[in-house]
Amino acid sequence: MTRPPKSRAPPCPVDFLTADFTRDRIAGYRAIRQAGPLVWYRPARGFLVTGYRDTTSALRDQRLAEFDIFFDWRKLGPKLGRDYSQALEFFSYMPFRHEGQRHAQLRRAMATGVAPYVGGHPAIRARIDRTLAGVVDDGGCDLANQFANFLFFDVMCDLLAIGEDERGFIKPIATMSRLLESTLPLSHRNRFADHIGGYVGFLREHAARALQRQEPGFFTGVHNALPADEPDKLKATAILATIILMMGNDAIGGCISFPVDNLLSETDRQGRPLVAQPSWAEISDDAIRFASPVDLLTRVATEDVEIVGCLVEKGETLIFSLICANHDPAEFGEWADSVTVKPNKETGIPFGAGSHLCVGNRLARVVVKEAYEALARLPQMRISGDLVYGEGRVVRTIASLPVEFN
Amino acid sequence: MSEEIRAKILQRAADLAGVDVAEINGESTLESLGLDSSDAVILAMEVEEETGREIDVGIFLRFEKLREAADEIIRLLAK
Repeated sequence: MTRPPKSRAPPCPVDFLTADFTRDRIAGYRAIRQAGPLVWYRPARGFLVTGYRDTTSALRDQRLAEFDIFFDWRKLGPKLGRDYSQALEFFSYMPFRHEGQRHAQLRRAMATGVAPYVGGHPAIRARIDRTLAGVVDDGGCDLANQFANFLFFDVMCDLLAIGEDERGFIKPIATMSRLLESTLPLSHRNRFADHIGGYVGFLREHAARALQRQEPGFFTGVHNALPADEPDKLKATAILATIILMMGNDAIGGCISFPVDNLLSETDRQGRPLVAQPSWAEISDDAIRFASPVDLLTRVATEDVEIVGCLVEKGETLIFSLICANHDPAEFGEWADSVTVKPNKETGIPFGAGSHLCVGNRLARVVVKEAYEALARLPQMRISGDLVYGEGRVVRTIASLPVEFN
Repeated sequence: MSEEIRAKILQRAADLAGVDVAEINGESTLESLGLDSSDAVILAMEVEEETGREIDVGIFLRFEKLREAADEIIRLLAK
């Protein structure tokens, strides 16, 4: 008889769910890697792979399938007498929820939608410049709340031709990445379930107008790339637009705030910044690696597999901390825990790896690159107050990062 | 108050599991009662409703035994 899973790997020495971990994550990830290449993480009842190479290789292992992270929504509805059908329908359009043909269909649609922007777009730079101009004039700002945390939302609204006066209605979507968490409180779930139909309806109207005008862009690209037998292509288009707003915004906010905090806080032995602000344009990929804001991917073994020398039985769960892997000094050297220029390393694996690689990764890199190029042109910044972390445990954010300008 | 909270958590866990509360002992876990993270969400909500304080759902997943989770909640509520 096989030994119980928790006896097959050492226990994870830290808990991602606690505020203590959030406050000192870098040290926490270091402790996890030191505990071994594979640890047992009790709160998620799964094995956690800790190193970069092992994580990359396991994420490409086709014997590991996407874990149904929304199973508790399905169970909660009947238990509480709540109707979560609109929420569950929404989740069913997330490409990563599927394998095989449906996965490919939804990925293709999303990829076609973002394709016009992945080489850069004037609207991205214009939005960044406009937002930063407003805050620099004041001599200081909350760089997280006034710039990073709604940047992608505003960029996408600009690209989707959603006016500034009307986007407030769907703005709550931009901070809803916590829906991915199994520990999401019921009040948050109910709020989402009550409003998701309205958000999708709003974007459906915009998609319909874009299609009527035969306007090239996200809506038209997605709509045209969906399979011919898609039951409601307009609805599917609106849902995919909602998904990219929801999944992209918090992640990109994290890709800006966490590295800026590091860049402004950490110095070399002579007390100089590791990367001077005018050179930030060169480090956007390493900033994404450093931040790796989407953490804790889960997979389930579809058959008995050996992962990092440990038997993982069919049905058992594997967890991948992308930030833990992306800070692995065996891959990224002694400066793995800092944002620096790292030749030929690019971003590491902040977008996952294998067939479920984030479909928005190229767009994310463009937006983050433009953001760092703009930040590099600003007057010298310094941190002027206490940093406040966001509540997310899967998609990590900074809620507040006060800075002053020289 | 702390005994009431503990009793409430154990009673509700028993209800969700469809067992008599007397069957829950110091060694009982969510798994041993056939419960999962969706039940943890419900348990946290009910303690919130009872106390008016926000309860982290993760407590029920972090602590192996249900009584340990109840003790942690009581400790946090006493703060």
